[in-house]
Amino acid sequence: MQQIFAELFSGVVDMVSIAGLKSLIMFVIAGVLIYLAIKKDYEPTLLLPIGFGCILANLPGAIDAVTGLKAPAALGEAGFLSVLFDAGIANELFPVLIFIAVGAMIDFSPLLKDPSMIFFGAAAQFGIFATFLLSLVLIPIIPGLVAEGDQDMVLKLASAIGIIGAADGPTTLFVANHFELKDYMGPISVAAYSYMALVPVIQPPVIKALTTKKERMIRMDYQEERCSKTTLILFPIIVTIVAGIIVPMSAPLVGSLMFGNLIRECGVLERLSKTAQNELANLVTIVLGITVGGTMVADKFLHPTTALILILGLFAFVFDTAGGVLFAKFLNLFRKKKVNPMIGAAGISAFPMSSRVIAKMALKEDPSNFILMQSTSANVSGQLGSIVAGGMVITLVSMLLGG
Amino acid sequence: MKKLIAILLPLLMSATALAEDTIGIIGSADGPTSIFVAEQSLLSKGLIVTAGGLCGVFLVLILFFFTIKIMQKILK
Repeated sequence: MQQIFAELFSGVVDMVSIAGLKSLIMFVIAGVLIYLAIKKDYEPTLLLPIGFGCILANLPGAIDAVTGLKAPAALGEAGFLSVLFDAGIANELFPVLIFIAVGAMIDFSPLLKDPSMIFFGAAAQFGIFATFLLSLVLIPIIPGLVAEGDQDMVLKLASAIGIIGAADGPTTLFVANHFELKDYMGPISVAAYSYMALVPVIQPPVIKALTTKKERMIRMDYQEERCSKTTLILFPIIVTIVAGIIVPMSAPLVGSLMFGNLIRECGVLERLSKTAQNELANLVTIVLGITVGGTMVADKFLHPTTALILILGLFAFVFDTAGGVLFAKFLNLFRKKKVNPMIGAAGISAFPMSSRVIAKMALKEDPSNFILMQSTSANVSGQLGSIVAGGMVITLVSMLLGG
Repeated sequence: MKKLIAILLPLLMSATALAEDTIGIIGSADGPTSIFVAEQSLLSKGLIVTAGGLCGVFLVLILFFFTIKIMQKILK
């Protein structure tokens, strides 16, 4: 009788232990994510499923029918979160599907009208590499993060932390998964998506610290000429070929982004374009979010590495913003028509959040200064830049591993 | 702007060529080269990734820039 009760209430018994305390801490973290999503409207489409996945991953274990081991029912060998992880993240399918949806949502015409904005999409990737270097210095000196002398692990982890600066969730997941960092997937994706939602909080102080009021009031011309349909159709095709030849590792991401964009621009696949923008984006976001939340298991999440990832992820966003702004100021040394240096900060991939923040800041300084189109151009360039940067990091680091 | 591109492009191309040579050497690593790679400090490896990565991103986006410019000229 006593054994039956013990088995019936094993979940309650498990909660009254050190492991149970850790689970309770994870429930609080999940609660914070869900609160931020619902009350503060911070990336609710992702933070809410991540928070709920985190709850599922930290429920008391049950005996798994397949392995006979005790694990949370959703995470066992046949648990639905494990099935989703294997089906969509371990084989990099979900990030690619998300990019098809994102491609179908992006309008590249502001960039095609003023292609010089593309350089800001490159400059704002500075944060990825600055954070990568900083991580390489910090990870080995903090005890207990990785095994001593395991240079490969340091390189892999530094890459995944640096790529948070891409301000691009799918690219971040793609890189982390490529380096088989399943244990770190939770904190890395939480950092990436939380900071993306915090762009309106993170970017303005950095921009203000690096620019004068006069610089922030610089006006920029915008040509209202139309972009031809042929250009809009050729652009995704040519970009895929060029990126695929120069950085083959970026082909899945660039290819899927540009495929989505081609569906949008071709003019004959409106139904597919709408499906990609709505149903596909929504479905994949639901399963991606809850699956990522499922990686936030207490034993792996409640670790000093998580704090390091969160701090360095913030640095990555700050360095990105600074890199873009300083690059714009550098360009102004050579240009006759000056650019508003705030545009540089829009070169990150957080689309369209960053461009809106920059346009709002410009309006705040001068209510008649409209730079939304220019900041949008820089922002879509950032989307391209972050994917290429992700491909470069995977290519270069893979070559240095095992050396 | 054109002056800046004229100055920066050759610099970028030579830096990229250097990075690509390094990658090529590492990629086709035989015994001694593997040892060479293994002997590099973490920071050296980090600098290789940083230099190669930034040059690569700029190079690809510069190619996109010229692609758009050429498309605009042809289609006009």
